Amino acid sequence: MNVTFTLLDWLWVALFLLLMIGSGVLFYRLGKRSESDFFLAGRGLPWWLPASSVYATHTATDTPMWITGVIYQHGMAGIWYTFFSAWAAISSFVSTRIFRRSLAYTQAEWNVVRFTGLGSELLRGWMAGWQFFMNMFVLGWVGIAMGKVCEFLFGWPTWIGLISFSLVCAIYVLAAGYWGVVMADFQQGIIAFLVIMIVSFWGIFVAGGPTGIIDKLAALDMMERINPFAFTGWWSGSFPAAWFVTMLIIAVLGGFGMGTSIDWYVEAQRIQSAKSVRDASYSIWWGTLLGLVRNSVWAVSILAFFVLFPGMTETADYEMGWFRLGFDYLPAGMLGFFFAAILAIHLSTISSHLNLGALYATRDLYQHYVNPKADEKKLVQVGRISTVILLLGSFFYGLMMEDITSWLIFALWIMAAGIWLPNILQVIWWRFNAWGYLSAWIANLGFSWLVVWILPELGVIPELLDYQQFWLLMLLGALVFIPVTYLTKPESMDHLVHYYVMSRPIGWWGPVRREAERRGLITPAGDLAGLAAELSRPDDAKRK
Amino acid sequence: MNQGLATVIGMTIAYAASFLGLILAWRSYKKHHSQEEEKP
Amino acid sequence: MPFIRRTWTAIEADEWTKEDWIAIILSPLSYVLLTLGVALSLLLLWYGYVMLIVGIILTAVLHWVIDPKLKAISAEYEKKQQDYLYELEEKVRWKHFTREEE
Repeated sequence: MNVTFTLLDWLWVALFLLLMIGSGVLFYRLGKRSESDFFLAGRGLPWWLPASSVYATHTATDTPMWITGVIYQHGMAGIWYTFFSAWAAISSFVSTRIFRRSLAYTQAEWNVVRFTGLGSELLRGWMAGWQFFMNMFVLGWVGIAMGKVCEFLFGWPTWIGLISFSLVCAIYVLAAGYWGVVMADFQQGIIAFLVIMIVSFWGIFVAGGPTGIIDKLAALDMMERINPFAFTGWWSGSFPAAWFVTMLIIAVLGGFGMGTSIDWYVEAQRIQSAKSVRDASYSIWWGTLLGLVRNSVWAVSILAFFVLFPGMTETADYEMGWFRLGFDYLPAGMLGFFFAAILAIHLSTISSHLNLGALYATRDLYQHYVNPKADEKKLVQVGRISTVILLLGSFFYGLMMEDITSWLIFALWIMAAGIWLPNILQVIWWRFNAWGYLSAWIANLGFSWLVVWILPELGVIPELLDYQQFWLLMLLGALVFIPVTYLTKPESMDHLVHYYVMSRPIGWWGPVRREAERRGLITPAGDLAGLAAELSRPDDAKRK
Repeated sequence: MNQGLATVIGMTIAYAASFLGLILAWRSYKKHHSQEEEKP
Repeated sequence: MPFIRRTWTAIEADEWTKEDWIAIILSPLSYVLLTLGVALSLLLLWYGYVMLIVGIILTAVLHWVIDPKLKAISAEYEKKQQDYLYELEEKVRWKHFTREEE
């Protein structure tokens, strides 16, 4: 389809882009003050700012395509695919709290706070390299989605949509760093949320409203599509209940760990930019909830699209469904507003990953490993140079490697399966050490290839369903990292005690806790009971 | 480009980046370690 | 002592207590109920409304239970934050190295 824009439409777009670049100029002075300002907005944000950034960043151009895909395919049950972000439910009150107390700029830096010695440094280097690549990759992936949207709408070659808007975004990220990102995210979050609601409700209205959708589903004999628990059986089919349970476990229990979802690495930056532990918790909880509620509204509007256009079999046809609701049915003059919202969705994701990738390059790779004596001015300069490298790298990924990008998404998910458990253990188990964790990362490299591609290709094992791959990879990983952990020394008790007192982790930390109590760094639990009884007495009784 | 080759190239780049980070960390650790040992 | 504590000293708030576990259980339930509740309410289904209302109530209870504790933790931690930040900066510049290795 080709959409024709009126002057009013282009005016909306121009106004929006000016607003975004303006935020870069406005916060330029704050961003350049120090490394902490360029990457964490000086660690002083109230919870609602990082919350809006959590929401805006995880609303990308490809998100409506992906959600349309799963809802069109599975009906309301497809909403569980979007529930992966629910790791934030437990994390907000557990791992977010612990991570905020570590003060680490990045998840890579966290490794040297939690572990010690060579192992911790190797982990930091490994993770920093991985994240620098990952952010470049995500930028390319999201960028090409924007290229496709512009091709779909205006018939432009994909490179125009990819390059032009990422360049606009780079202006305010280069100027103001994370200050620019988070301030623009706040505006983008509001615009995107409003427009997603308007377009979705418009689509529902066009399909005859809620009763119209249900009547049409009944006429199509597809009422199971409104049932969120309509699975294809327990163990088999396109969406077995076993996969639903697996996804729920990955998401919910994953909240005890750090890095159990790929989104954690983005959230880690938001957590540290919050002004207090409480602000960090609420930013993750509310930002994620807003995303979940948005998914619910999207899901219903995609059911509306389904009853308007049932029977599509090609993913490429139906994945643009939500965009079609907007561009096919919104009145003239509103199209530009809709496109401006799509830009908001796009820029908020691009800006976050540009700044986050630059953070790993600057803090972990450059400052820690290349030039530890660098001053603040130099670090901000390196931050800007890294941002440009990421931008150029993302063009390469987006333009030259579209095929790789699409397959890598799956590969990366599988990658995450083998380190899901170690990601939790690093938080909740004192004995888990750097060597165990590093071995899990490296072993998973081999196992994921074997289980997903090589062994099925050779006919040694059948092709496994998603949930089978997850559990098998988890088990295989454990067969490596548990022996490695026990065969190597625990982290030094001095280091663990220091970490424990600072972060106060949850879980199995008995020996470390006892040592901290012995050293007088923590009040013993028994003494606390007395303190509690004292506190619960009325004030006047205490005075007596 | 076929699916398998695309995945191989993509994953190779991902792991090459990680190993580069790892090597950088190792060199840096050794450098600081030896500096400490040289001190009287 | 009431079942849910809403007055905390800094030392006590640092411990993991039943209030944290209540939050850990209520929080995913809130997410599930609000996600499904919004979607099914938009389709005007009665059980959607029920889920939505229960989800909102659970969210309010969750915050009522955990907020005083989070406030106490934050206030206490902020006092120590500058020292910890100083250590982190030492670490990134390898100045901690001798001490760690000993």
